[in-house]
Amino acid sequence: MSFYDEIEIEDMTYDPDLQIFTYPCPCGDKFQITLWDLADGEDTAVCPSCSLMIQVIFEPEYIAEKTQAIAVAV
Amino acid sequence: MRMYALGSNSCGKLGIGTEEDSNQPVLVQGLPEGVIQLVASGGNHTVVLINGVLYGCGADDCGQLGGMGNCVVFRRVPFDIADQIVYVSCGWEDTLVSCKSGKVYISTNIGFECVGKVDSIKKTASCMKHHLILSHCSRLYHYGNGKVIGSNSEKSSVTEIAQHIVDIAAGRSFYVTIGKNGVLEISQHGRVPKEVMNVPSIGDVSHLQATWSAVFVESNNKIVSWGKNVLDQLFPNDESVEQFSVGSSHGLCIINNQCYAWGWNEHGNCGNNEKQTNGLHLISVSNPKAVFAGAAASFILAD
Repeated sequence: MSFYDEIEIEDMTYDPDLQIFTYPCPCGDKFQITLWDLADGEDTAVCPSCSLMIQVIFEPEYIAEKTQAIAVAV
Repeated sequence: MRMYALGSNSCGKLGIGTEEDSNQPVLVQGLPEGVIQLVASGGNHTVVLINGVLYGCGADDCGQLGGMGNCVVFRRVPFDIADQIVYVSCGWEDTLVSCKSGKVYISTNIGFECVGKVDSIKKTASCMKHHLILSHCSRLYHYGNGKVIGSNSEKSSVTEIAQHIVDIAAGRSFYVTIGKNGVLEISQHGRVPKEVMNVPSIGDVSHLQATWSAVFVESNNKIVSWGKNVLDQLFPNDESVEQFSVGSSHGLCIINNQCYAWGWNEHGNCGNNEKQTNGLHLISVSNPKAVFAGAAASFILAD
């Protein structure tokens, strides 16, 4: 499996409603990965419109902060 | 002048009346007769300047077409400002329009908002979330995502960042300039790919362009390119080209009155079914006069 690119999580866009991180794909669509996939240690964001994938670079603490905030809110 | 489009057609950005991809050139719909002055495109939208009037198609969900609504054929963009448009370039989800007065406008959901005024505008270059504006007085200005100029904030108005610049190009998270002294420089802030920083030794350069993660220039009648090449997006050979244009991960050129494409082809933007082209691939359009490459989308102007 080869990645199109490595992207820092800070450069991705987070949608707090859908709990999903996105980043533009060169085809026009967006690479996507859920907060919960990242919390499980998954780091591959895929594009729904093509075969390209990116590797998300992140610190587990960054994700833990977000999942804990949701747990508190619930 | 006719315009053909092929490749990724997300949100109808090809302007051919559907949202289906096409691996063959299709005549676009909705443009009037006239001289096409400029083509620009973002992730899911395309704009064309024809007879001084702006037309657009594709997505308008972020106001990239000034609030005219999503559209699968070209329609007149509501740029209702009494000023002559001289240049247009597109970020991923916006459109930067520059006028003869020196005023610079950004697209919004309710028309176009003036974000600054500079001296006479020569050229603009946009990529992803940042925009560069070059004036005839060789001054360089920036608008948008501040990371590329070493700032953590979004710039909501045009800011001067350099002088003595004669050409510019915008990559995904960097920009490139050619100075009056002929020296090519890569921006130092933000996330500049290391392959882009590694500038080869080249002589006099012209026709500067950039893709997301690579730089292209013309030198001694050949295209010299460097940067990331994971999708074969660097120029594949030593041929002399009449004109070229690079998109997010592919390129188009005209050689001996024929149009060719290279690079990533998953959406048919290089004119065939292969995922990546091996070298240059012919796209069959008679009398091509100019090419423009976007986000896996190809546009060819022909007589």
